[in-house]
Amino acid sequence: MYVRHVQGDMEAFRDPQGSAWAEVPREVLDLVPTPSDAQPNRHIRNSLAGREWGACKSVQLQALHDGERVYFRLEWTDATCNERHEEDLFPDAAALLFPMNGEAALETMGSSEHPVNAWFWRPDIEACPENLVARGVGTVERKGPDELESKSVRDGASWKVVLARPLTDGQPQNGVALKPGQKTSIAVAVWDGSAGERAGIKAFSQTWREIELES
Amino acid sequence: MSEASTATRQIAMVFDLNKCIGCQTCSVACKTLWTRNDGQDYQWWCTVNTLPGRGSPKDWETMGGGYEDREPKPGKAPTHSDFGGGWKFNYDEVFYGGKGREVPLRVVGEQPTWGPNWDEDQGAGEYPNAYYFYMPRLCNHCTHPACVEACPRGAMYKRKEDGIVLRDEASCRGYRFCAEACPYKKVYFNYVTKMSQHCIMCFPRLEQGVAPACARQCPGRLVFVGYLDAPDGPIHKLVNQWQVALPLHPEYGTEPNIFYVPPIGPALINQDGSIAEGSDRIPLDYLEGLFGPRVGSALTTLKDEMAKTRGGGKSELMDTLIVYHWNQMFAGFDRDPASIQWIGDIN
Repeated sequence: MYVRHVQGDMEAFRDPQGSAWAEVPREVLDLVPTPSDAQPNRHIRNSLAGREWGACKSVQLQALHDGERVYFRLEWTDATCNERHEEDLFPDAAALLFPMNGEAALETMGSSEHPVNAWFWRPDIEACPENLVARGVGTVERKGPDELESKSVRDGASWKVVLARPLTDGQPQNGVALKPGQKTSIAVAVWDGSAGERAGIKAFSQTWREIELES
Repeated sequence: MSEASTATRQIAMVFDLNKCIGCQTCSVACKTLWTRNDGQDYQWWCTVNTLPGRGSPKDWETMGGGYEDREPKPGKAPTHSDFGGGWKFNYDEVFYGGKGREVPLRVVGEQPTWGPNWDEDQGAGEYPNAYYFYMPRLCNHCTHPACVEACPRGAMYKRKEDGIVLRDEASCRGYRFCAEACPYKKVYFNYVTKMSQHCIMCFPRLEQGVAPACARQCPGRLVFVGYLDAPDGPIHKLVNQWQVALPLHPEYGTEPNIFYVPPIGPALINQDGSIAEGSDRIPLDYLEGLFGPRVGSALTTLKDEMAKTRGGGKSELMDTLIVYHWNQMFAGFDRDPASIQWIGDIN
C-alpha cells in the first residue's frame, strides 16, 4: 500500500465523508475470525465453541500523509450500529496495528521483544481514541502522550472512520514512528459489538500488509 | 480447574438461613458503603432473595459459568435488565413539587418488570404447606474463581493473604468475561465507567479488624466471619467440625467461601390441621439442589443438637449458632468501625 504525500489544507481529510477521499486509492483487506486456539484462556476458547465470530469480512483502507501527519480512513459494512455498551451488547470498534520494531507476530499481538502499536477507535471513545501497545495476547496497555484523533460517520449500514496522528508521536516505545520514504507493515481489526465481539474475539487481516510512505 | 487458588489463607463467611428475616439490612449496608457512584445504581453486591424463586439476577442459575468436569463452562454475562433496579423515581414531584398528597412515589419512564427480590415471599407449595426462606448472596470469593481465570488481562486476582477476589480497575477493559464465567452471577458491569465490579468483602474494613458491613449490620446476628482454618473460630467449627454450613451449588466447581446453614423449616400440616411431627415442609430434594448431597446430614445434625438442648443438655453447636455475644460471630474482626480514622470519603 502506497501512502501518498500530499500538500495543502488537510482539514478535508479529517472528515470520513469528505470528497477529498474520493481521489485516494482504496485497498481492500480481507478479514478472517481470529483463531480459537489463539484465544488467551480456556474460558474464552470454550465460549466460542459452536458460535460464529469475526462478522466483518473485509475493510477498505485508504491513507495519505502531509509530511507531518498521517491519515487513515477505514470503511466497512456492519448492519447493526452499536455505539455504546448496552445490555449484552458491546460497542463496535476498529483498530490499526503496526509492528514497532521488526518482525512482530500479528496473531499473538506481538511479543515481549517485538511489541505492536494499535490505534484503537470505538464510537464511545471517539473524542479520545486509544494509543495502545501490546507485547503479546492480553497485554494491551494504553500509552501516552497520545495525539491520535478520530472521526466517524455512520452511513447506512457502514462505518466510515478516519484515524490520524503525527508521523511520530511521543517516545518511540509508546508508538510506531512512521517516516516518509520508508516501509513498514499494517494490519486491521474490526469488532462487531452486536455479535459480542470484544478483546481477541474479532475479525482481523490475517497477514501484515506492507505500506510505504511517499517521501 | 483454575490455577488461581494460590491463597495461603482464606477468609470465609457463614450465613445461618434459619435466622434470616429478609430485612435487607445487609443489602443496604453494602449499598450505602460501596455502590453509590455513577453506574452503580442497579448494583447490589449483596442481595437477599426469597427461595424458592428466580433470584437476582433473574434466573441466574440457568446462566452457566463455573466448571463442568473441571472445564470452564460457557456462561452468560447478566445485564442491567437481568438484575433490574436502578429505577428513577418522581422524587421532585412528590417531595418538592407540592404534590406529595396527590401523587404517589412511582418509577418514571420505562416501567420495571424485574428487580432485586422481585418475587419476594412467593416461595412454593400450597396452603397450608406453603414454604419459603431467605438467602443473602454476595461474591463467593471462590477458591477456584472462574472469573479470575476468564480475564484475558490478568486484571482479577485472589489475594494471597486472605483469598479475597479483587480486580485491578486500571487493567480492566470491560470485556465482561468475568461476568460470563462467574456461575453465581455476582459480577456487575458498570455501563458508565465501562468496567465490571463486584463485592470486595469489605477488605479495607477487614484489614482494620472490622467485619464486612453486611455482617456487622445484620440485626439477626446470622453472619459469621473469620478464617476458614482458625480452629477456634466459628467458621471452622460450622464448616469443618460440625459440617452444618455448606456451599451453594457446589457442583459449579469453584469452591465458594460463603457457606450457608440450611433452613430446617416447619413441619407439614395434615389435612385435619394437625402437625405432621418430624416431617419437612421444605423438600429435601430442593435443598439438595441448592447445597448438594450433604444437606441431609447437616439438617440431621442440627435437629439432633436442637433435641439435645431441648432435653436440657448442652450443645456447642447450638451455642455457636445462637450467638450469645455478638463479637463471637466475628473471630477477632469485631473492632468498632467508629474507632478508626478512615482516610477520606470514598463517595
